[in-house]
Amino acid sequence: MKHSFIKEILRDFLRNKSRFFSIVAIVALGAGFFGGIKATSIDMKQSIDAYYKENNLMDMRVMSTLGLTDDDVQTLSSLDGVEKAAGAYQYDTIIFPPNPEDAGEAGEHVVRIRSITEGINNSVLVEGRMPTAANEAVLVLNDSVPPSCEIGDTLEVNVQSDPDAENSLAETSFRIVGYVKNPLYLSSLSNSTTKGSGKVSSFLFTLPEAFSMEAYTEVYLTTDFSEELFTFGSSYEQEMDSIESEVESVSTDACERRRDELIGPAEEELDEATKQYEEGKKQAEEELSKGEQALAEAEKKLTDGKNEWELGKTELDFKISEGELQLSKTRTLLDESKKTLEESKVQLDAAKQQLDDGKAQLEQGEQLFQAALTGWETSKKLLDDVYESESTAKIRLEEAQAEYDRVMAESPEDTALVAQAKRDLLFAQAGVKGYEELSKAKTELNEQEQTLHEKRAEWEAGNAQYLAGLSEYQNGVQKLADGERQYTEGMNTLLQQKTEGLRVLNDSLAEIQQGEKELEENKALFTQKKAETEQKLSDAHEQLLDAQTKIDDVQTPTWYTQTRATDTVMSGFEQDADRVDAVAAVFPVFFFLVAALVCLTTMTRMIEEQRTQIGVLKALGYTSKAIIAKYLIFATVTSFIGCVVGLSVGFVVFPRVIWKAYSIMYTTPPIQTPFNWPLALLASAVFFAATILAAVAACYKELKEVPAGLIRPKPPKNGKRVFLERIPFIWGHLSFTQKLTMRNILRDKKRFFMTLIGVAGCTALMLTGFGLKDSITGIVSSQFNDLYHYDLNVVLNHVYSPEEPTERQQQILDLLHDSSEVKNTMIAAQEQVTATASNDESVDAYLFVPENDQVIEDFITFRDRRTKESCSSPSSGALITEKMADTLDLSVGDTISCKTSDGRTVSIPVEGITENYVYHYIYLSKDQYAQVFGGQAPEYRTIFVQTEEGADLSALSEQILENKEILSVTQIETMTQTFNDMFDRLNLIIVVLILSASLLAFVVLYNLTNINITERIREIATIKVLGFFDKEVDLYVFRENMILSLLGMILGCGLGVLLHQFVVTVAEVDMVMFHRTIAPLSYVYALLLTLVFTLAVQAAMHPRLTHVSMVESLKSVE
Amino acid sequence: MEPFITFKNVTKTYRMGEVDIHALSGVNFCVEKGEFAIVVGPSGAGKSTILNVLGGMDSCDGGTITVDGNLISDYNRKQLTAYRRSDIGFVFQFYNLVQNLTALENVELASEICKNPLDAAKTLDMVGLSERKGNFPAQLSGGEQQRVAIARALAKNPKLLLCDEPTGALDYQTGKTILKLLQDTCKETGMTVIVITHNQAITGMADRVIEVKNGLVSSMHINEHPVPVQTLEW
Repeated sequence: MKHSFIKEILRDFLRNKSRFFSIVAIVALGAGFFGGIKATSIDMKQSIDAYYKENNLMDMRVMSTLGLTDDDVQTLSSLDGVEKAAGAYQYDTIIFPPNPEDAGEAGEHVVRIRSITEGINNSVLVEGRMPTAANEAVLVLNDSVPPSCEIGDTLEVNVQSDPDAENSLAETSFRIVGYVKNPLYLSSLSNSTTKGSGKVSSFLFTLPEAFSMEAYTEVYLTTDFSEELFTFGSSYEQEMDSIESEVESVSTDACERRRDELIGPAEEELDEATKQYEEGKKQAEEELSKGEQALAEAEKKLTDGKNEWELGKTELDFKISEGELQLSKTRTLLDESKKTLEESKVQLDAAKQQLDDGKAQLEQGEQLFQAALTGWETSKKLLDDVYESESTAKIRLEEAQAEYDRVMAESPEDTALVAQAKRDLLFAQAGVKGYEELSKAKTELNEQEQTLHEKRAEWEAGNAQYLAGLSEYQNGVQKLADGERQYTEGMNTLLQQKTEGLRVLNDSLAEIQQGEKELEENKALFTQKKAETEQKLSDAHEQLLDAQTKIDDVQTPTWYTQTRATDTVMSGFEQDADRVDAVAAVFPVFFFLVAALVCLTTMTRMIEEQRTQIGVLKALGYTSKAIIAKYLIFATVTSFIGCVVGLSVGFVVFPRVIWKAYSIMYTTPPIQTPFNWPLALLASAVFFAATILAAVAACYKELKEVPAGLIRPKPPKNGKRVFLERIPFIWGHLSFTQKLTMRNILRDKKRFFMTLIGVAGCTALMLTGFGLKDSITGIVSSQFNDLYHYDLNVVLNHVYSPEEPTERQQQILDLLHDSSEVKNTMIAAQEQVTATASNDESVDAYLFVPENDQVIEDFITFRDRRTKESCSSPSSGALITEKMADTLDLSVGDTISCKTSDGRTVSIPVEGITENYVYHYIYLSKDQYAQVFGGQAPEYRTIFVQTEEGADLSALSEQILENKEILSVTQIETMTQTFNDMFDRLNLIIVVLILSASLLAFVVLYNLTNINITERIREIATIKVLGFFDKEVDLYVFRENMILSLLGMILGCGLGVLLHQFVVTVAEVDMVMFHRTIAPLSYVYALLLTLVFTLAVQAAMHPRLTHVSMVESLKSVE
Repeated sequence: MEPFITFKNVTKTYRMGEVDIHALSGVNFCVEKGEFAIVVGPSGAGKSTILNVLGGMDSCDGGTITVDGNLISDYNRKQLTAYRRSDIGFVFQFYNLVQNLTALENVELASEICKNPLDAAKTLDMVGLSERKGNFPAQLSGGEQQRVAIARALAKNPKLLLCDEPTGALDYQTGKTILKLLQDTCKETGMTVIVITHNQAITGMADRVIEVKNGLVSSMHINEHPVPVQTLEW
C-alpha cells in the first residue's frame, strides 16, 4: 500500500475523533456487556469446575438402602473408567447447642457429620488444622452465615435426643479444630434431615474412626476423566452416563450379595426361633390339657359331694319332721291334761274359797263367841264384884224389898229415905235382873258354843275334802310338769338333732361351696393362664411372622447414584449459572442492536461525507478494493479497540459482580475471570461484521458511481411529505417549527429507530434496574410489615401440648399473657415438608398450623397479591403461598402433596393462594391437620408475639430467654435487617445495570446528535445566517432529539416492564418471590435519568452548534 | 448625509494554521440606500469576507462598519444575530433551502422570526412562484430554488439584501432572470441590494460597482445609467 494512502488512513482517525470514540465506546459497551454477562455463566461454571477438580470432588456418590461394604467398594473401584472408590460415613445427629444464647434458628441443633475420605472431596482448610483424632472435627464454613462455633469448642452429641447416635458413632463429642470449605457444600440450602428440627445447621468432617456403623453410608467414585473433562460439559455427561450404567449393571449382583449377607444369619436365627416356638407350644399345650383334666376331676368330686349333701339333707328333714310330729302329739296330750288340771284347779280354788269363807265365818263366829264369852265373864265379874253372887243378890233384894216396904210403910214421906230405899231396891232389883240375864246369856252362849262346834266340824270335813282334792290336783300338776319336761326334753333333743344335722349339712355345704369357689378360681386361673399362654404363643408366632416378614422385606437393597449433575446443590448451581446465561440472552440484545446501528450509521455517514474524496481517489486510479480497505481498516480498528476495551472490562466486572450477588447462596471459591477467547471472538466477530458490513455497504453504494459523479456534490436528499400531514387535524395544529421537526424526525428512518431503540433500551434497562431494586428490597417490608404483624418469634425446646403444657411452658405463656407490653400471642406448628403436585417440580415448604385458628389473621395477612382482597384463614383445605402455587402450577381446588420429614405423604386440597415473598408456607387449620394426618396433633413449637407500640423488645426477649424452655427468640426487626443486608448485595447488579444503561444512553444520544449536526451543518449555518438565536438553533436541532427521546422513553417503559418481568422470573431464587411490580418512583427515576442524559448530551453538544460557522452556508455542497 | 453602508479601513485576518491570511487589509467603501451594488473581484480577493462581515456572519478585526447609522463592527454575537435577523436578507450561491420544507415553508422559516415580515405567500407570488408554493426544493429547478431563496430573504423585509454569487450555480438564462428579479426588487421596493460576484459582465446593471483585489477595494464607481439585465451578455 502506498505510503501516502496509509498516512491518509491515519489522518482519518485524527479527523474523525468523535466518530472513532463513538464507535469504540458503543462497541466496548455492547461487547463488554454481552461478553461479560455471557462469560459470567461460563466463569461461574469454570470456577466451580476448577474448584471441583482441585479438591477432587467425587463424580458420583453411590448410596444403598442397606449400606455399602468393602466388597461394594471393591466392585465399584474395579469398574471401567472409575479411578477410585472410597467408602464414607455420614450421620445426622443432634448436639447440645454450642452457644446456648444463640442456639440456632429453630428446633434442635442438628449437625451432619461426615467422614473424611482420603483424596476425594478434599476440604480446603480456612483456619486451624485438619482433625488427627477421632474426637476432632472441622466445621464447614458457610459464607452467608457466621460459623456456629469457635475453633476449640467441643460439640457434645445429645444422646437423649438421638439415642441412635451411640450405635452409629464411636465418639459422642467432637472438638472443633478448624474451619474448612468443601466442594460438597456449595450451599447450605440442601440441609433437610429426618432428625430434630429437620434442618441441618452445621456440617462437620471427622475421621472415619469416629463412626461405628457396620456399613458405609455411601461410596464416592472418582473417574479417570474427571480431571480432563468439564463438569458441565456434554462429554462429561456422556461419560458419566456410561459410568452410571456400569454401576447399574453391577448393582444387581452387589445388592443380592448384600442382602444375603444381611439376611443369612437372620434366617438361621428365625429357624431356631421357630423350632423353639414349636417346642414351647407343644409343652404349653400339654400343660394346659393337664390342667383342664384336673379341673374336670375336681368338678366331678364337687358334684358328688353336692349330691351326698342333698341326700343328707333330705334324711335330716324327714327325721326332724317325724320328731316334730310326735312332739306335737305329746303336746296335744299335755295341753289336754293341762286344761283338765286347770279346770280342777278352778274347782279347787272355788272350794278353797268356800273353805276360806267358811273358815272366816267360823273364825268370826268364834271370835264373836269369844267376845260374847269375854263380855259375859266381864259382866259376871262386874256383877260378882258388886253382888258377890246371885244368891247374895237375891238376899240383898229381899232385904232391899223389905226395907223399901218398911220405909214405904214406915216413912213413905221421908223421900230421901224412900229414894234411898227405892235406889237400893232398884239396885237390888238390877242385880237380881243382871244375874237373871247372865244366866240367860250363859244359856245362849252355850247354845252358841254348841253351834260353833258343829260348824267347825262341818268345815273341818270340807277342808279335808278340799285338801284331798288339792293333793290330787297337785299330783296332776306334777304329772303335767313331768310330761311337760319330757316334751321339752323331746323338743330339745329334736332341736339338737336338727341343729346338729344342719350343722353337719352346712359344714358339708360350706365345704362344697369352698370347693366350688376354688374350682371357679382354678378355672379362672386356668383360663387366664391359658389365655396368657395362647397370647404368648401368638405373640411369639407373630414375632416369628414379623421376623419372617422383615426378612422377606429385606428386599434386595437398591443402589442410588447421585452424580454431580443430579446433586441438588450442584445442579442448582448449574441452573443458576444458566439463569444468568438466559438473562445474558436478552439483556445485551439492546446493546448489540444499538451498537450495530450506531456503527452502521456512523460508518455510513463517514463514507458519505468523504464521497468526494472517494471520487478523487477513484479518479486518481485507486482500485475500489483499496478504497474500501481504507474504511474497513477504520471500522476494524475501531471495533477491535472497542472490543478489547469492552471485553477486558466486561469479562472482569460482570462475572465478579454477579458472583458476589450469588454468594448469598453459595459458599464458593473466588471466581476466576479468564479472558474468554471464544466469547471474545464471537462478540468481536459480531461487531466486526456490523461495522465492516456497514462500511462495505456504504462504500459499495458510493463506488458504484463513476468518479465524476462522485466528485459532483450529492444531490440533497429529497424533502417528503410525512404521513402526519395527511391528518390535517394534527398537522394544522402544529407550529411551523414543529412541522419541521416532524418532517425531520420521520425523514430518516434509520436514525429514528436508532434513537428510539437506544433511548428505549436505556429507559428499559434503568427501569429494570430500579424495578429489580423494588422487587428485591420491597419484599422485605412487604413480608415483615404488610403481611406479618408480629414482633417476636419464640421457639420452644419441646413440643407444646395445649392440654398439658409443661411447667416452664406455662410460665412462658403466663409471662407473655401478663406482660403489659404484649398485645397478643399465637402458638403454631411449623413443619418442614416437601411439596409436590402434578408437575415435576418440588418445593421445600413449611406446613404451618396455628393452635388457635381465630387469631391467625391478626398475625398474618392472607390476601391476593393483585387484588389485595383478603382470603380467609384456612378451614377446609390448605392455603398456600403464591410462589409455590406458581412453581407447582397449582390453583384453587387442586391437590397438593406434602412429604413430611418422617416420610409420610399426604394430599391436601388447595383452598386458597396467598401473597407471600419469603419461603413457602402451607397454612392448615388444626382440625384439617388432624384429619389429614389421621388424628396426629401438630408439633407446636413456635410462639408468635405481638407487642404494643413502643415495647422494649430486647428487654422482653431477654426476659423470655431466661426460661430454660426457650430455644430462641427472634425479633422480626433483626430478621428484616438480615434480609436487607442480604439483598443489599444484589444492589451491585442494579448499579452495574444502571451504569451500563446510562453509558448506553449517553453514547447513543451523543453519537446521534453528532451525526445529526454534521449531516445538517449547512442547514444550521443557513438558519444562523437567517438570524436564529443560539437558543433557537439549539431548539431547531434538539427538538427532534427530545421528541425521539420522549418516544423512546415511553417505549422504554413498556420494554422495561417486560424486561423486568423476565429478569425477575429468571433471576429469582427458589425460596423467595420478588415483587412483580415496579414502584411508580422507579418509573420517575428511570425517566428522569434518561431525560437527564438527553439533556446532558444536548448540553455537551451546545458548543458545537454555537461553533458552526455560518461561512459553511456559503460553501458549495460537498 | 451619511451613506447607508460605510466600510472604513476594515481589516480581517484569518489564521490558517501558522499562516495569517489577510483577507481584508483596510477596505473602504460606501453604499447609498436603495442602490443596487455589485462587489466584484477574482477568487480570494476578499469579496466573500466583505459579505461575511457586512452580513454579520463574521466580525472584522479592525476598522468600522456602519449600516443605517449603526456601528455593526462593534456588535457582539447576540447583537449580530439580531442584526441578521431583522436587517439582512441573504441569498446564497447554493440557495441553502431547507430540503425538508416546501417553498412556502422555507419562506416562512425566515418570516417567522422577524418583527415585521412580508406575507410569505405574497412574496412567493412576487418572485413568480405562485404555483410552486407547496413543492419541496428537490422538486424545483435551480432558478426556482433561487427564487425561493430570494423570496425567503425578501420576506424578512430587510434593510439590506445580500446576494452571494446568486447566479453562480445557475445557467445563463436563469441567472439572468434571477438578476432581473433582484434588480426589479431593488427598483420596486427601494431596497438596498448588494450582489457579490466574480462576473465582471454583470457590473453594467449595477448602480455602484466596487472592485476588490487582494483584500483592498481597488476601485469604486457609480453607474449613472445602469443597463437592464436583458442587455447583458457573458
